[in-house]
Amino acid sequence: MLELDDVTYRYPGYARHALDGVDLAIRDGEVVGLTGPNGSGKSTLCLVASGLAPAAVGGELGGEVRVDGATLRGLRPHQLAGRTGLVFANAEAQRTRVAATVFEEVAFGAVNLGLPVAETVARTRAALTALGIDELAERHPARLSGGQAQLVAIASMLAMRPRHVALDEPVAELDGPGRRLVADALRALSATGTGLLVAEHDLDLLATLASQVVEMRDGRIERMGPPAEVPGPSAEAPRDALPPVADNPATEVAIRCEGLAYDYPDGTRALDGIDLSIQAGERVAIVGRNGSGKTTLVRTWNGLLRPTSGTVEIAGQSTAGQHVAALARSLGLTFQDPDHQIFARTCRDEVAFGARNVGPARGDLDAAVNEALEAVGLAREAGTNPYDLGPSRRRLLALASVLAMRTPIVVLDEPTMGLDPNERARVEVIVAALAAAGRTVVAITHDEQFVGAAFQRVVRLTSGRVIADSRVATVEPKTPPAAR
Amino acid sequence: MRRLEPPAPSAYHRLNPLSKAAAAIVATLGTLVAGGFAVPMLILSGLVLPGAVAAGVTGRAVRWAIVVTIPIAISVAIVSILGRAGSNVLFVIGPFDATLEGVEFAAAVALRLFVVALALAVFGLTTEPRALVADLERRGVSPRLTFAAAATLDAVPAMADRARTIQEAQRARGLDTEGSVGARLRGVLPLVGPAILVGLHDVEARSLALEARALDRPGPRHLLWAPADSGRQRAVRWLLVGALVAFGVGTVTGFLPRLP
Repeated sequence: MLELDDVTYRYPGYARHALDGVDLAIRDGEVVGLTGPNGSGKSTLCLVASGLAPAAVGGELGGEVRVDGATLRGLRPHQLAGRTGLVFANAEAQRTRVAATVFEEVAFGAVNLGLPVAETVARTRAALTALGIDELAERHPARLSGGQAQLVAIASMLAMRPRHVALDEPVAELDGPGRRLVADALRALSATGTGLLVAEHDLDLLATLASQVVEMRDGRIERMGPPAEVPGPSAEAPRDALPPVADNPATEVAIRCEGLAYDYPDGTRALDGIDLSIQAGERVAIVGRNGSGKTTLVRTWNGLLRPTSGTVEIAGQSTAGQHVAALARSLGLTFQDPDHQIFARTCRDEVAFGARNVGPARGDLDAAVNEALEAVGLAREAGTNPYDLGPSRRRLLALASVLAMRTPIVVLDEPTMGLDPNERARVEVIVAALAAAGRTVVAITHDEQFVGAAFQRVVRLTSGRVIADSRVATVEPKTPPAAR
Repeated sequence: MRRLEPPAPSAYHRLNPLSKAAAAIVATLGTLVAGGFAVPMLILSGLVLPGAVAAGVTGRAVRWAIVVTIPIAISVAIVSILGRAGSNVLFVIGPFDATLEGVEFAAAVALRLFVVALALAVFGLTTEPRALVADLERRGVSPRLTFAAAATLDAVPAMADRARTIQEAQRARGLDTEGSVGARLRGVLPLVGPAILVGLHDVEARSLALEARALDRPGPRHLLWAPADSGRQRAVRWLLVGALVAFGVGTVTGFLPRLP
């Protein structure tokens, strides 16, 4: 059993406790779900439960973390192996980058333990089998789908035979099939007696996995019980204030692709004859599995990628021969990883960067920046260094930097990834407000709830082709707890 | 039982990394010490090219060596042909005399550069970094050090990918990197910040993930595989090193005649 007894934890250099008086017990083979708004302490609890905080992270731990009655206090990270393990949301960040096959990647931890080769091989095989990924053994770890990569990350931890594993949003970056793959694997894993602590925003997923759910807020356990009794954090953004969005009368074509194909330099066909027309003012979600060509498609729209064949028109103008900077006046694009664009010293400067390049006249710049910061809820952080914000708020900041450009077309790549329900509701409001202002909004997303709540049309890609293009069947937002 | 060692396309690839490194180092130092044409040609035809042919990488290695050699060779040629004093003037350009001695010097330098580049290319194209570090670890080098070396080698393409993505993200916000030189230079700053910050974040996240996988454990590890070595390879390595030392000593002491 993994026990946390009146645990407090403070990161090095911080005065405030990230965890405060946490009591929790996870039996062997039990799955405990962990939910709560971003910043509530979920990731910290995963770190502390695994022993890596303070063993690897440093900081100050109060109370006790015990496995089968023995404290983890004072153990070094390698001494935690066999007791606890931790899997992060980003599979790529966990990859060793020195393994040429999945087998070597999974074996890495066991090799580090100094085990005999035969034992390492046996453990590696067992871990691959436990997660049903034996057939990946000879594949290169960098050439896997998102779901497969996350399973490899989990298998890498299992090969060290921990009794308990904490998983920090293990499906946050995965598409539907990838999520199901990981969820099935976790179910099978718990059946072998491994205790699991799973931090996740998706309560529906936790309901299928966990025997109890813990809801965190401000570093404390707010609620704990069976999934049905822990509704999760409420969406506090003003959904009722959503502007009424009628289906926009199709007057102008914002984006038109005809026979669009794109081949990567190695010859891989990423887009294969796409015919697509999006009217001005439409809200369109682009969905499909990881690697289906969604991101490649939108990068041909702003000129970052040039079509191998076929044409792209933005607001009636062919993109051929136009600079990316010129196309950015018509189409603003947020990237999936906000850290790829954030560089300024303050949130205000960050948001002003794109606007200054392409957006409003000088006199309107301040107004555009303030409006964008207000829309994403970061007005009070205008003078804050972006890297002092958490990951989800940096994602919102990246969104603000594109909003401030005031482009007629806004394209968002996975805008709700890693956001809590409250933050996601805010993005839904923004999409609706943009559409109400006559701007075209396109989002690449795996988030089915978001699609149902914010979009009117959904385009599905598979292997670089449009296989479905239909109206959205509206998904009702989850009922806030107060209304239950 | 699955093979634990990776498949290798040729017998030369399967040689111990130290053997291939010894060949590359001896070829490089021998060429640089000797100068002239005869010894570099001997090393090229007797050591480097046979290795490239045996490994089946001749085309790629020669292309890579030419790409590396040409820009430097052109600079050396211009300076040497027009600037090197000599009695055999081939032609005159303004105030400069192009001499036969200058042409010979430039050709000798270009040949040496080509042999060195080709030797290193053959080594690089036939040796996986992880094979080299696994071999070093087996020979007693610290696992943390060998891991850092392998990760660093792998980090170069990863950093290039990251830099490209960051540049794309800034261009999508209107940063013009396709305009004038001035515009391109102004565009550098928005690329540097994220490159460093994302790099640091990446290192921090990866370090934590690796500590979670016991990389900090002291003591030896039992590697899944390490490149094979043999008495014959060890003998050849010592022979190569001995020949290099003897050649260097002979050249410096004047015991060996100066070859053209």
